[in-house]
Amino acid sequence: MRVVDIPGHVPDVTDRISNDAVRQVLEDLRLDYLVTVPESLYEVLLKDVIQKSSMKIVQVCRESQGISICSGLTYGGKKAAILCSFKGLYNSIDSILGVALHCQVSFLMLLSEASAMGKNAADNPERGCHTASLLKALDIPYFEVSSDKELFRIKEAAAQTENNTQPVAVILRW
Amino acid sequence: MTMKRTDCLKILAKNRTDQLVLTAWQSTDIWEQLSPSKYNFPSVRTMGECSTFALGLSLARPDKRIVVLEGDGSLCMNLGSLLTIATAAPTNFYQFILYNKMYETTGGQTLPNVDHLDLVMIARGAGISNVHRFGDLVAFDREIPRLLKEQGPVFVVLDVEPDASHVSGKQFGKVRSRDTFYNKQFKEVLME
Repeated sequence: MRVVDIPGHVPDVTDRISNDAVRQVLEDLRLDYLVTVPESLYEVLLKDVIQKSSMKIVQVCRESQGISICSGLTYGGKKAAILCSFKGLYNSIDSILGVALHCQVSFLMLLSEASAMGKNAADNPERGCHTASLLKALDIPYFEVSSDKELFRIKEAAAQTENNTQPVAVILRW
Repeated sequence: MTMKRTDCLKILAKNRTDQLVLTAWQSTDIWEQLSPSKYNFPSVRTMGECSTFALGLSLARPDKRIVVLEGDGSLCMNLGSLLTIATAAPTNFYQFILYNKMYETTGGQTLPNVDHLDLVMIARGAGISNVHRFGDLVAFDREIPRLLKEQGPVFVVLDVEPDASHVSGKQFGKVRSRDTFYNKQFKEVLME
């Protein structure tokens, strides 16, 4: 994945969850692959991963591909996670059902969602309001992270992917 | 020119060695009859995602060669996958598209704009350079041994006649009901 510097571009960061802390957690998990469609709330995280991490990034055009690729990677014995927005979850339902759940594979789904309060909510008050409901409907267990203090939940989610037959999600509320 | 799907797959089966072969939908039943093997995986149940599952597998297992057999309808559900495959550029990845220009299992509806559809151009435009098309069995039989040894990703379009004679609910059901068996068998194969 390449990143082009855009003059005048200001990253969409929040002070709720630190990108550096998330990157460190992902490295502690010794992920082999991070599969992603870039999104504004984690653009800084992706740049950090590219520059500082040994994780391989697989960039996809659509998150449904990412679910299938994570499934194949996991089937082949690699540790993979998908990092995408809640919209990516929405467009991945068929792949989750027909690939991940059908093939009984487990990997981390890191779902970016704006927090319910503050600037991001004002920009788009509907942002992510269906994420938890959809995960429940798919019977996919999930954890929620709204601050750096809660990042340990990513590790708990990762632990649940061991010897499991379905993905485990973490909703990152930046 | 077009070929009979079964004849194409017979040629592929004849040249198959140790490749992992992932099939989607209409090719599954025939392939299981022509080339039964513990290295087959027929269980991806989302149209368009067999190739991306296979991509993940090819990245995870560079020691294996991965072959995908899918229809044109499946590919068109996920054309962006060609960009993703081209970007990842797995050298052990071989994708065969059975191009009959229609959704055969649902009654023969043609693909949108099928008279102008050029999958070779789309694959090349996505960045896949090793692209081939065959409408002639002799040429396919001649070239396939070489193609299966080339550095991937390799993308092959096979012009085939529509043929619903092999498709029956019972036959489809027979393979699909064994998904648990295939899941277990394939996972064991990957641990070899």
